[in-house]
Amino acid sequence: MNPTRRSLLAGLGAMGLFAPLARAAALGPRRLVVIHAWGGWDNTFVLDPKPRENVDGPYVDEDPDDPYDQAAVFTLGGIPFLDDRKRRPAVTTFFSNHAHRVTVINGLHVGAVGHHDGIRRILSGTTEPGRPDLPTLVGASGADDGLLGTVAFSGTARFGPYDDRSIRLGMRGQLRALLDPSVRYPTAPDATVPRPLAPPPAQTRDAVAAWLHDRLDAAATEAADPTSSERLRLRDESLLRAQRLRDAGIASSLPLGNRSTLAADIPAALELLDAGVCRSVLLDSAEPWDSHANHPRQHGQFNRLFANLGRLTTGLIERGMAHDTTVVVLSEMARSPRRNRDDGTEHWPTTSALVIDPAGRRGGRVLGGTDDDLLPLPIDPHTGQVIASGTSLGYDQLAAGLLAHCDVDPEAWLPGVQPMHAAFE
Amino acid sequence: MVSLLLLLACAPDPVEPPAVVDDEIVDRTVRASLAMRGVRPTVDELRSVAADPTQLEALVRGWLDDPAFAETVRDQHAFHLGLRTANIGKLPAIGPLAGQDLGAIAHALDEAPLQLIADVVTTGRPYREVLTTSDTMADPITAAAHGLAHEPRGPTWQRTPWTDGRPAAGVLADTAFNQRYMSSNTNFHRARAAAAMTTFLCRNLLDAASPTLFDPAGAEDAVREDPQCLACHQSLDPAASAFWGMHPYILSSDVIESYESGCPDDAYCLPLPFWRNDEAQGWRDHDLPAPGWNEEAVDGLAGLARAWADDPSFDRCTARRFHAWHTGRNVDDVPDKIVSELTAVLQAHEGDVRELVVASVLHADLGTAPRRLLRPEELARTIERLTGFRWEGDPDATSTRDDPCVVGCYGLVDLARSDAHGFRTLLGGVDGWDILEPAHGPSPTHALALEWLTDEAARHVVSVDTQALLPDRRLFLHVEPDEIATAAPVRRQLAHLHAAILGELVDDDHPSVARTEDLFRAVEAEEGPAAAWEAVVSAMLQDHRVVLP
Repeated sequence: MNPTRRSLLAGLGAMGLFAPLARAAALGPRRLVVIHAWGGWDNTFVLDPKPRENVDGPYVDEDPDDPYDQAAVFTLGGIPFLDDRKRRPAVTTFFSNHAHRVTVINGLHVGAVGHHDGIRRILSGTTEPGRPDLPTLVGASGADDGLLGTVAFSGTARFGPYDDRSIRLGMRGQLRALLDPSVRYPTAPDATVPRPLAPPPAQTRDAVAAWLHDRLDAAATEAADPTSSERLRLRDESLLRAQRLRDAGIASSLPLGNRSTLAADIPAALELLDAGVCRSVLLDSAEPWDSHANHPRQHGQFNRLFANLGRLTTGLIERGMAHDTTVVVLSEMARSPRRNRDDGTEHWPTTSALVIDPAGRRGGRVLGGTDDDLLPLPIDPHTGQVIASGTSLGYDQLAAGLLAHCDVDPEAWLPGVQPMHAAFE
Repeated sequence: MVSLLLLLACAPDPVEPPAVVDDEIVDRTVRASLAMRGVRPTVDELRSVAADPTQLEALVRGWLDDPAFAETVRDQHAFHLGLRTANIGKLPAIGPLAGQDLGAIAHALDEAPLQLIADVVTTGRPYREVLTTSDTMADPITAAAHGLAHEPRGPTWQRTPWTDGRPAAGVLADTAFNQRYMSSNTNFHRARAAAAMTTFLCRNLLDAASPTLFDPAGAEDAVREDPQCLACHQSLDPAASAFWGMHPYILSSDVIESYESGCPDDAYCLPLPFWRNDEAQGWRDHDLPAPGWNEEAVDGLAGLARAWADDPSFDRCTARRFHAWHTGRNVDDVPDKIVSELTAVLQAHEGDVRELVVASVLHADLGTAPRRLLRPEELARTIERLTGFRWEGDPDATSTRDDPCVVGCYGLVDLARSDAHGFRTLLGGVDGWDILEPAHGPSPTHALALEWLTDEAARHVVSVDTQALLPDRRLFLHVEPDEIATAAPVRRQLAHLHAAILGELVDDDHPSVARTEDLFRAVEAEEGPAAAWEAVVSAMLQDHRVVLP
């Protein structure tokens, strides 16, 4: 850590100049929003319609006596999807408003039927443990100027070597309590220390920070090995970024309490991106997609998910972030074509993904595909179109394409993987 | 308030450090203590080792009797087994658990298998018992939840046998372990077998194989025919068959619905009907292989547990896991040579893990391993041991609470160890469910949470030491924290804090003490001595020598 840079950044924070600095810096590189549908969605409900002879899909839930409760393929803005206006009206509304901004990717082969293995693959583009996920990589690449890289609203985030510029929100939005002492849990009645404890004066905090940094600098010069040296550097950076986070004045925009819906997280995610606090966010759909039983619940889950995608897309447009933000919706797997005895489904290793360009420059298209039995079809890696002579689309190819799109060299993280650029061009 | 003169007169004679302190042996002592207890050595312990490095082994052996050693064993196994999750396999405060805090219930359920392991380790019984014993551990909550005997006048946690006829398979037969690794209609207990193999045999099938499945409709055929699948499933499936009889999973909502419907037969009222003997042969109904290991049949889960404990990889994996924990490495990254050395120690002492731990923390490798981020549990224990402060909060008392006590209140939360209400993952820890890999470096949330914790801990210790007489003081031996003092006692006190908190045995006039005095004087000039001592203690508790030892 260069002391001059440290002093400059700390000084900017203390003078309240951080927020505009962050906002200006964030206008450059691309922002990324990833929404993870934990558990494995049934993509045949909406995104990858199949004949009812081949899959149970949503069809077996229809009420034959209700003409409005029928699933049928409907095409809006160039995207064919399975429409059911009684059970999933928000899906139709979303495509009515935003189909021209949406690229649907079908036949995305994850190749795993275990959740954690699948999550690692779909979010990081690799099977290797310890590797950072895509939002972290994109965020970190733009955070050298002192900003945070990514904010993880989802517990599935993996920061790899970027702990110093990546933060978690916490299951109940605990980050807010770190920044706002007034919302901290009270102590036990007999506690020695009252809470909230009045924070130390700025000069005391600065004196402590200076003492910590001085000792870190001395230790870094004596570090016995590169790993220790790197961890000391991370500590130094983290102290600076923590101070900056405190100075940014974002606490009131952070969610607090039981974060049980994506709808509750979207406003905070938009605010963090807009304020330049981070360059990427990882959100969770907050829906129980792993429906080994009670599969019909996925109707409501898709309805809420698409309603939230509409809110997010509109929010990005309204805040002027449409042109430099990409939204990707991923699930680590899909569901087997037939219901089990508990009216549920099992895991399926080929899934779908959504890419949203809020500016509407790319969309209204479906890339990749599956056959009637939900097996992936070969595609032309350059166009994304299904061709007999192609190869199936791997999760790593989509990840590499996304990294390239966000100005991160995919070869550095996913060497030898051919990026799927078509989804982002 | 005692006067300064009286204070100085009563101050104990410290063990004087040698003229030239061997920093390496001091640092090794700190690391050994943190590795096996998650707390730092006392100043006297450091000085004794500095004066005579051969004292380290005696110190280490003495630490085996510290309750913090048992806590650390539980922490370690919670990490490896993915236990202490926030939301998996919990129970409502209902039936015999009515009136209990939800947090206490959640804690107790996951703690039972960990208590069993710690009991085996700390009493020196062969480590294989963690897989083969017919006992579990019960406190009042788990006794009610599982229908176990518990003597009210005895200790909180008591060793007791299962009463539902489940196999003698230690933690493999424990309800919390099997709830954590739920089974499904097609999983057939494979997740449980895989998790246990990863933990106790260091065979991580998911990472090793990761086959690319194209047609899971034929997956059950593939696991029998496809060479890519067979490599793992030949081992996994017979082991998984041994878990039949354990319930796939019981949700908290299942229990609530059962009570609401009056607890009819086959309902999920307490004690939880998790073992079902009539399902133990269920593998036959699904054309699955018979329970077995290494191509030999085993007698159900108890037989599998014995076969695993007899497997040569069990001892090696035990040695590997403990040393990985002590050094902050991934299990796979421990050098094979060290694993062999430590395995030999374990086997020479008939599976007594205490000897393995002693050998591991005395190994030269611990001294040269890279700095590691102190785990949240260790951080909390370290600060409590130094200051007496417990970082807690009451979610039920906050005005912003949005979880009214529908079926019970949550209770007081240990903020460093909780994910649901605390900061474990924001401090770099794991949550046992989504976050299975600990952070290897500090983060901004780590810095913010640490500052909150240390500010309160510093206020606490300054406050209680100001009120206490010398023998009962924790940190302040040479000054009255709330009184202005002359340079000499301040420097002496600062040097003591350098030793007690940072593990630096330095003279009063050492440059690092002078730098800390600068901090002290700067704050004292603005806010007075008590605030200055708080600032110094808080800063030291945030120092890299504490959080990145």
